[in-house]
Amino acid sequence: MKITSVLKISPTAKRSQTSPVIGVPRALSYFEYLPLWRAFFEALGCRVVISPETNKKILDDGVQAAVEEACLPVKLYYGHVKALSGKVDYVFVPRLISVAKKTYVCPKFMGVPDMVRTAAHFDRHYPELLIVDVNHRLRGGGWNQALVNAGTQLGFAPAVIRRGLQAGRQAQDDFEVQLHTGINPAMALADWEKRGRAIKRTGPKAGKDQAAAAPGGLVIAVIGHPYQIFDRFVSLNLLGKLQAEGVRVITASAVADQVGREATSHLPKRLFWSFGQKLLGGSLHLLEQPIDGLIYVAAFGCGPDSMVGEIVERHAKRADQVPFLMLTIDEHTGEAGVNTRLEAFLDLITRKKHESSIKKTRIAIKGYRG
Amino acid sequence: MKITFPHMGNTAIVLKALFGELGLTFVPPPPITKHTLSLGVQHSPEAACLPLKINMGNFIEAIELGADTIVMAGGVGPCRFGYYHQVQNEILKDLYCEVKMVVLEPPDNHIGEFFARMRLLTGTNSWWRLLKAMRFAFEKCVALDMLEQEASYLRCRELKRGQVDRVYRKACQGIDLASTIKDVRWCRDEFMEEMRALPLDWQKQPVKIGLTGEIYSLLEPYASGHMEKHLGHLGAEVRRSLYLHEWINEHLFMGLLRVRTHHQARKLAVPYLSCQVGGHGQEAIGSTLEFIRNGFDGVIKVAPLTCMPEIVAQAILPWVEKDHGIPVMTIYMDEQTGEAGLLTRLEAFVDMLERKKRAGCSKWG
Ligand code: SF4
Ligand code: SF4
Repeated sequence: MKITSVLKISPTAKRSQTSPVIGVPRALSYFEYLPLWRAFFEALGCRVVISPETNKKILDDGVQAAVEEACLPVKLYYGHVKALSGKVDYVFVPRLISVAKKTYVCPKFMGVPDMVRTAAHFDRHYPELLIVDVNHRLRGGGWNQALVNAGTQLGFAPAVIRRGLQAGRQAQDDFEVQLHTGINPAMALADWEKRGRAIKRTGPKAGKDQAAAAPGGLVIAVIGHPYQIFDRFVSLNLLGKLQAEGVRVITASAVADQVGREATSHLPKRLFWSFGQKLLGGSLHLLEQPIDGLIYVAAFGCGPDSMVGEIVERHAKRADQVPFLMLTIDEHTGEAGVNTRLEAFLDLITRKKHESSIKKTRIAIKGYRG
Repeated sequence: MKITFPHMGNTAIVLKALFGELGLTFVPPPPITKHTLSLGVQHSPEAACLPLKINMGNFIEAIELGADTIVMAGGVGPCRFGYYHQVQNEILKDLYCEVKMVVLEPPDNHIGEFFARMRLLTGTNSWWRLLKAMRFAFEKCVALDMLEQEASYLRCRELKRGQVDRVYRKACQGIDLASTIKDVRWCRDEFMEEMRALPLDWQKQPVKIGLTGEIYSLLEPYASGHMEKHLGHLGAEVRRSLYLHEWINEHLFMGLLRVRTHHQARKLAVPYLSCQVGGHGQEAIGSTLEFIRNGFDGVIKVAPLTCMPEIVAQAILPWVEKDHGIPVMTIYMDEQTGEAGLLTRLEAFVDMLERKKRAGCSKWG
């Protein structure tokens, strides 16, 4: 089966001589691709406006527009698109079908542009959408083609688009290199949120970042979709809370794809969701590293999480018993509940760490005697 | 090697024919009951979709009867189904460890993988014999689907409740026992006659409801709370958007046979949902449009709770409803869905359609 999208919707051509203002919803794939998009559109001379951080209003708008059964991240997407209304000429809504060879993404990513289109059909307050397909399954159909299509729809000349593409690629590569050094992805992204244009960083601050964790402190892997864990509102500031407790957090973004693939190579079946594979590969790899615990942040009702989370949990329990916490989040999740569970979990692993260090000393002593 | 497989409607009869012809030993799982479901729920991830849980229940019950090899279909995305067996395999590993899983799916790297897996199943049988067995099984499948379709057409017309289903059950048994293609056809015609000869109200002008949605919920009556039957008893003529032989033809035989496909439905859906979203999401929208074209009064879309393609479809269907003025109801099923609640919803829907239909009639005449 080859999934292709056939509908071609072109937004009404450029309205004026000045370059259009492009809106970017701070949701879903934003957390993976902002540098690519921003650098591209700005190189074309467009101004890029990002929707505000998730807030109560955005949540309410999203919940109201989406079907009840949808997962929270998808509901928020509606809210973020709507939040851009009146501020931009077009909102960039890419249709992600496949972003890497022989993979897919979650079906909802494929449907989201049409879901938002439906909402816009019923609510005149929606901005105009700029929809392009990202389909790696087609020859030359990856991000490059998608951005070329976007540029063409906006009426830019091929030469300009080519330049934009270069800038975008460069930005995205820099971003990914940064991530793999273990820098906090939210911080890496923050640069791109504040100012556009690639400001070349001189060497990643990674070393400093990692050193920031107190020696002997806890190291916890936090696994979840980037739009879950890096959205402070959605995750109830989970990462902030952990950092405040002096915990060093590692996420799957820090694990290179190749490393993740190796960690899952023993499974009989290759996972076909590229984002799911990132989480699975990241988890299985990190489970082999000296970590004190793993927190899986799942979206309530999320298909991929229900499968990936289960496999990670089973591996965590089978492997030398890495403490595992599954946090399932939806719009009704209360902060108090999360805090309680988090505290209990931190207690548990602190105790466990303490015990094992005692055990280790004993073994060491024994070894010395024997 | 003792083979088992998950239930999905009449699939068991079809697979029994296939394996029987090939001389393989198999243990069909016991029919799905509450116990099956609770076993499945107990051992599956809580957030998984319902078919995975019922499958798990089937496997465990069949393994207890001595099965040691599970055959099931797979896929390469984008929906959860393609990854079912991997998760189920991990669960079984923690439970029993010695169960083998043979997954029939499009090959990941090269076609040889697929044939290797098939060989595992067919053993020493020649390809010719395999082809013959497949033909025989497919014949049964088509016959069963025809009978099922007829039953859904007649159920609302029966004068004595339950008669159609009695004949339909007999027909399934007959086809299960048939040992040649000729027998299958004879059986099919015989019971078709018997069903039509029942005391039926041929004057009745029932409301027509199209049933669409996710494949397992459509094909396995247990997964939809026997919705098709209930609707019939509530006085509605029902037609489904999908039957087993159509799926087999489209997905296993690459659409080679001249059987109704969903090509048309997908095309109709494009203005609303322009790409496939896995499962039967795009088909659900397309089939709704087909039902509208064919003059149905309403459409019910049924799917397991959290089903991703169906959530996409559900989000878009209001647009279709608005354009065509036809009521569409989405029903999600999970292990907590109670029969009483479901019946109330169905009843209200049928009532509404009947009222609408009457109003429409009086307007014109
Ligand atoms: S991956 Fe999960 S959370 Fe993300 S859109 Fe799909 S179902 Fe929702
Ligand atoms: S189609 Fe729906 S119910 Fe079936 S596997 Fe996919 S998500 Fe689950």
